[in-house]
Amino acid sequence: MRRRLALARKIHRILKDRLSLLVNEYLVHAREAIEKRSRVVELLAKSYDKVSLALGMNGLEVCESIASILPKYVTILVATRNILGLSVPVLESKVKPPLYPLYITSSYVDDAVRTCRELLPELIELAELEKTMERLSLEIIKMRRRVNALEYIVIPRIEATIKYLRMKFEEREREDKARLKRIKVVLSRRRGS
Amino acid sequence: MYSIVNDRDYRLLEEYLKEELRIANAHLPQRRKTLKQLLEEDIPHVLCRDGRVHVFKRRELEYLLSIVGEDRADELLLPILIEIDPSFSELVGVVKGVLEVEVISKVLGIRPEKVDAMYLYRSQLCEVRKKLRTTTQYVFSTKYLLEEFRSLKEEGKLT
Repeated sequence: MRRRLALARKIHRILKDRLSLLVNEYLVHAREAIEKRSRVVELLAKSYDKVSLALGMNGLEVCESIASILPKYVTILVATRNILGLSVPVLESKVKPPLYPLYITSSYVDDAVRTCRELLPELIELAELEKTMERLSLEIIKMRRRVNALEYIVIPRIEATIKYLRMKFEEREREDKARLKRIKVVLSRRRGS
Repeated sequence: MYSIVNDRDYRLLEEYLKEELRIANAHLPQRRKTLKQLLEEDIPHVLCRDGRVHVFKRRELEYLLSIVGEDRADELLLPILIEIDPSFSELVGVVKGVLEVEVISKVLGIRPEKVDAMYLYRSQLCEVRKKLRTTTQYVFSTKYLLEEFRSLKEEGKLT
């Protein structure tokens, strides 16, 4: 029983360490996500301005035809990485400079394309960070439940069982002692008579 | 509070604890690769013990290359392992290996106390993980886990 208690305590320690590492990871990602989100918002505002200018100067048709070319120049690698046994996504993007006919566009379109090229990798990184945070938070909830179950249910129950058994053994020992004393008294009385 | 845990509870508990010990380091790579090998791959990755794939970010690999230089790129094994020892009273990570210590100390901008081992505290762990998110990996002290495995095996509770 004591062996089980020691094992449960050690596992509790491992789980607690894993939990604090997961929380650490979550905080690291959260800080980075906040920075990234403000950068993305800034770039989005900038790109909306540029795109609306390009739309105004070159018209919807030209802008749409340029936009349809752009996905060819973007490659996104979707993979996974491991954080303490938890699989989280890795998104790596490569945005090559697009080739489009310069004679049908103005510098406003070039500006808009440049800003969008800047925005896209940041947006992808933000997606990666937020998905990682979501997975981490679910894992933290699960891990916390396990740690709490060990801390507040399993370990106290084993301790209580050990205490109960110890009490029983002590009680039996006391009874044995009392019985022996009684026998001794009875025997001495018999010898006396 | 007073309660006796019955046999079924114990069996469940032991199964669960054994499983926890088994999966504690399941996320580690089956075989580590050198920085040079990884830079030569199209998709730099390693296989984990649980069969999953761990992909490295090229940006991080290039950052590490700028630290160690091309001549020592075939000496640095990745991911760099940060050992967590649960026997410490607080969360402390240990990085072992001369080159690994050099890399981590440069990333943190501090001078290590020992050449071949470096202790990292919570804030430093955060900083390292922020900069080297895919190229570092936590590992629970094998010494600690082996002790448990050995005693469970001796008792015939682990096959």
